[in-house]
Amino acid sequence: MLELELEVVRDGFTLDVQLSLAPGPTALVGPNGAGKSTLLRSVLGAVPVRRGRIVLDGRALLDTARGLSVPTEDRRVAWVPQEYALFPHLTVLENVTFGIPGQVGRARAGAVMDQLGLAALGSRRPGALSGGERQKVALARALAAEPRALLLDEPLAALDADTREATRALLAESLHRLAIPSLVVTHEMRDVLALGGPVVLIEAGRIRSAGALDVFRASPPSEFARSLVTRVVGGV
Amino acid sequence: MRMPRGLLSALMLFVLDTGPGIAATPDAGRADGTTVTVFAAASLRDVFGALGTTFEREHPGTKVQFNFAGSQELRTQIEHGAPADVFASADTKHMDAARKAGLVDAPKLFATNAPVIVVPADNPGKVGSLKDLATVKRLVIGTPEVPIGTYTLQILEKAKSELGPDFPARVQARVVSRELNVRQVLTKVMLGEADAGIVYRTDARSAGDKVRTVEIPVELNVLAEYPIATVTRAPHPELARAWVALVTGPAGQTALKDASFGGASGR
Amino acid sequence: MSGRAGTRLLAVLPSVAAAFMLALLAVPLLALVLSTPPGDLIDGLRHPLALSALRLSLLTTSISLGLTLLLGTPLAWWMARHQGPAERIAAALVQLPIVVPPAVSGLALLLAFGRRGLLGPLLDRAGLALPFTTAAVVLAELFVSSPFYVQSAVAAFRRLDEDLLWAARSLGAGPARRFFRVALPLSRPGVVTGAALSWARALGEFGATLMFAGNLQGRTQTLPLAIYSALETDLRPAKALSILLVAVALVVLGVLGRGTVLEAVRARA
Repeated sequence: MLELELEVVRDGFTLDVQLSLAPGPTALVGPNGAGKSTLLRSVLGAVPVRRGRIVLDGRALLDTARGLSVPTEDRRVAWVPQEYALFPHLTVLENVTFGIPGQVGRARAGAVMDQLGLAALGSRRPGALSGGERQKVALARALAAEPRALLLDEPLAALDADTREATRALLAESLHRLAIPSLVVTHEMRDVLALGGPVVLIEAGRIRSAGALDVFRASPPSEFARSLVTRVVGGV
Repeated sequence: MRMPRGLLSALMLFVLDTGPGIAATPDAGRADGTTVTVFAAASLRDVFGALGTTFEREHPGTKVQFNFAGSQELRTQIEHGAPADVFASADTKHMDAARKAGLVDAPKLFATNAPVIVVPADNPGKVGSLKDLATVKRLVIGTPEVPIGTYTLQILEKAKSELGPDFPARVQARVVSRELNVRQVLTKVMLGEADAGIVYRTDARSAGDKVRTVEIPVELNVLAEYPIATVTRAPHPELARAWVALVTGPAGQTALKDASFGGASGR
Repeated sequence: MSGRAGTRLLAVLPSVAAAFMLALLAVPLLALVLSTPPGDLIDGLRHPLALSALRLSLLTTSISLGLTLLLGTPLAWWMARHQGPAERIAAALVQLPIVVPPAVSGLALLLAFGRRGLLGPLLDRAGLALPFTTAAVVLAELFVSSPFYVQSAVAAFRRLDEDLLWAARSLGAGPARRFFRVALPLSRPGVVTGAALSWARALGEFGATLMFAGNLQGRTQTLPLAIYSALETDLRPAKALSILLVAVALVVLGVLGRGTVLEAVRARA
């Protein structure tokens, strides 16, 4: 369980959210500039939070009232940014084992890579991979570190249409199996449907709605949500 | 320890003066018949500057333009056709070379400069005479490649007769640095980094009360000789001769003496 | 002239300018080498000043490079990661030794670390006297050369993709692991270039060394000082020593440069 209560002020923009995430994937949708990436980065600890709390499985990661802020490296919150941020100078295997050095790490990385179909790519560097492969390496790297929560910023956006279709199911399946709170930013209703978990709609720095996918689809709570839902019906 | 402002600015002048090739070659285009160009050794800067004012007063409408630098540098510039009227060197070696190459007319000695020992004003090494150089902790002299270094070695050799055959070696053992020009020697003494150094009397004088001078006995000392000559292809031979006459005449000799140069008549 | 010819002229102009610049840099060095017959070169290298000066130059520049890396890298990292008044002051300080004439740097070092300098009494109590020692040569080299490294390293660190460091953090990497495993390898070309530049500057250091450390064979007389000493009497050994200096610089810079190229190739493979 990941509980968030955050107030972030940045360049005149205010993010003010209260959110509770159950294990499994949660889709985070909203117009551009609504504060999706900022929300992820503040959970990560990369954006200063003016007021608030972050509690992960009962452990406080942040509590401004108590002056507590666990450093990012000790939060056990993995983060996959839009462009994946793979280490270009390290091989795929070195990337995946980055968070878990040593013998045990190697074994665990091997297992994760097998699962995602990366076993043959271990000695390549990110520059020599296709977009889909890179996406999988980023996911493998995050999973191998055995995080307690996962933040994915538009994980499929950088992929071409065919690869996206193929990767989507794998991503959804992995996140369900993982069973840790996972927040997935997306602009695609197809992604939301594939994830199947609750949907959080954020607009202008505030939570507009948070609830089950069926409810979101049946009665979209805003203009933006309506257009998001109908776009997939048209099959675009 | 605080450093008096006067000493600091004096030092800055020395520092900026030490780099090779700082002095610019005068602009040849300005030699328009009323400007006489004097190439002179750097140690003559103050005296010649003052004499320049005298010269311009005595020759209305005439300007004196100076190029002060090391004697070797001046000689090289003249060899490469710099438009000089007069060459005043700080040693006979470079003047003789220029004379042999037919670049200058017959030179005249117009001044001498004697090496002296300088110590910081508070004399931490308690130097009272030449023999004490063998006991100071930090002695700074010129490198043998530059004239003051050569003179220093000659003085130490001469002193063997009075202070023992091992005197030069004992003094050399005290040397912590062989500086590449005389101003560097003076600077290190002024700053108190060295307990003693050997420089020209004119340098010691220019440092004022920042250093104390200890004489080297005349019979053990050597003299740097300053020759002056008109340049063979001088653009203004008349004015060139007039400048040489001023320097070797009573006014020039008085000014040189006031700056602690020795007279040429002494030789 | 037709418009077309004019365009063509404009097109070759940059090449002409580049060739001119290159010639300007190459011709003097070429003249130095061409005007020195092999016999002179051998005589020059047998010059009594040559060997001890070369050894001292290699020793002092190695130590000053080591100190530059050891002290300059944390400074550069800090300057690259923060943007405040303190960093702006640091940036200005790091530029000063590049601008100030070396002889003035030497004087400043004397006024700071000399026997009667600002810290003189302190050093004296510790039984240290820096001027006229090999340590003074190292300090002078460090003073004039480290800014080249720090500036280059700051620029390299600033070019780092911030997200890579956050990704490393999210994977549990502490400051040391982030720096040595991510930041440093990725900044390597800029850092190596800075180190090479700074080392080369230290090797050629003359003015500050002469002022602060003096000139004594075997102790403070580095190659540039030996060259200048020789220059006062005879051009030939000075030229030979200069060629030696240039050769040493080319060898070391070549080795460093190849390291960077190999690394770049490896990173791309």
